[in-house]
Amino acid sequence: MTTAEGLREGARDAVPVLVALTPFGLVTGVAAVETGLPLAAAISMSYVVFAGTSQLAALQLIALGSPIAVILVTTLLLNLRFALYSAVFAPDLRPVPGPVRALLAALMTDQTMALGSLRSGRYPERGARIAYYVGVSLPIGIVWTTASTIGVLLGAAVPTGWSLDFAVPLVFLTLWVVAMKRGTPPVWVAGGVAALSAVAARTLPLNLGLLVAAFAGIAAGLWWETHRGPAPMGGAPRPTRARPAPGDGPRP
Amino acid sequence: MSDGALWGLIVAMGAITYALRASFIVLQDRVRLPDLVRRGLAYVPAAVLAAIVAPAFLQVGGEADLAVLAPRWAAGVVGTLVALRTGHMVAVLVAGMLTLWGVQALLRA
Repeated sequence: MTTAEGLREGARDAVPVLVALTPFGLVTGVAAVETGLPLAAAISMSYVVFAGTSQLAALQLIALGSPIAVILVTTLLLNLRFALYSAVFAPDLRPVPGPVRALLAALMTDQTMALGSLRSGRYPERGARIAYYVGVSLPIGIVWTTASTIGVLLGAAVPTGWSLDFAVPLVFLTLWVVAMKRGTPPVWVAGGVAALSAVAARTLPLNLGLLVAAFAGIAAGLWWETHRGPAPMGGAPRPTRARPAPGDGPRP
Repeated sequence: MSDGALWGLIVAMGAITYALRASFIVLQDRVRLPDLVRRGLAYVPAAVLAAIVAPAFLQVGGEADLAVLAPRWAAGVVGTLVALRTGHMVAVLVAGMLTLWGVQALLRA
């Protein structure tokens, strides 16, 4: 397995992801404009942050007039999973020089994790694994930023009477339903408690209700896991994609 | 939000997200994810997404205006069913937006 083959195979595996990612990018771009962001900021967001779910959450919070601190804590919570992915890929990337490693880290996405961890067993050589990582991540990065840029330009052209801003809650609804469907009982508890808490705490000032509800849900999930079990596999945010956490055993 | 605050927010969000991505890849063995955080991560999507979704469908601003709320409820119910059945974002968007527009039109008629 050569570097070129790793790159090519990664890019090929990324194709179905690209198809799914395009509408998400478009919606994120449209939502940024609907929220009232100036064109340059709306476009830059996808390049600078490069994490769709947290961008949409931030836009929703900006629209509600939340303070910056609440938005940043929400960003941290929603993107904490990247630290876990980072730990998974760290051993593969260890021999790469520091600056290149810093660059490769910027390309990490949910899809890199899902595909990269699935296929890493196929590549005995480290060089090919790194090439596969780049082959998957680079097209995803290009398509995501391009789709969201097009979304911004489209959004600027769409009349506000279409209630297109409602697309954002619908996207979150889909992500939530899918997370619940794939989840184990403690995940359902976490989601249910968070939903009820969010409705109960919605009158809290500064949109703190979101964080209170999120932490209540996470705590409830942990409590249920400890006292009622069973724990979801691996501790990854999406149980169906979970692989053993680093340190749990030898790589497949 | 002022333009300056907005740009500051975008840069800070980018910095936080990049730091998380880079953590282990750049620092390798010099950092460790606390056990509780690793376990809690399994519940972050379900909990945070629920906290965002629930109020978006159950309230609009402060006043409970049925003409605004009813289309959202209908779209939420249809969207949930389609999401459960297909798990496909585009399908949910199409079904949800069509329901929203349909009920809005019915209420106006």
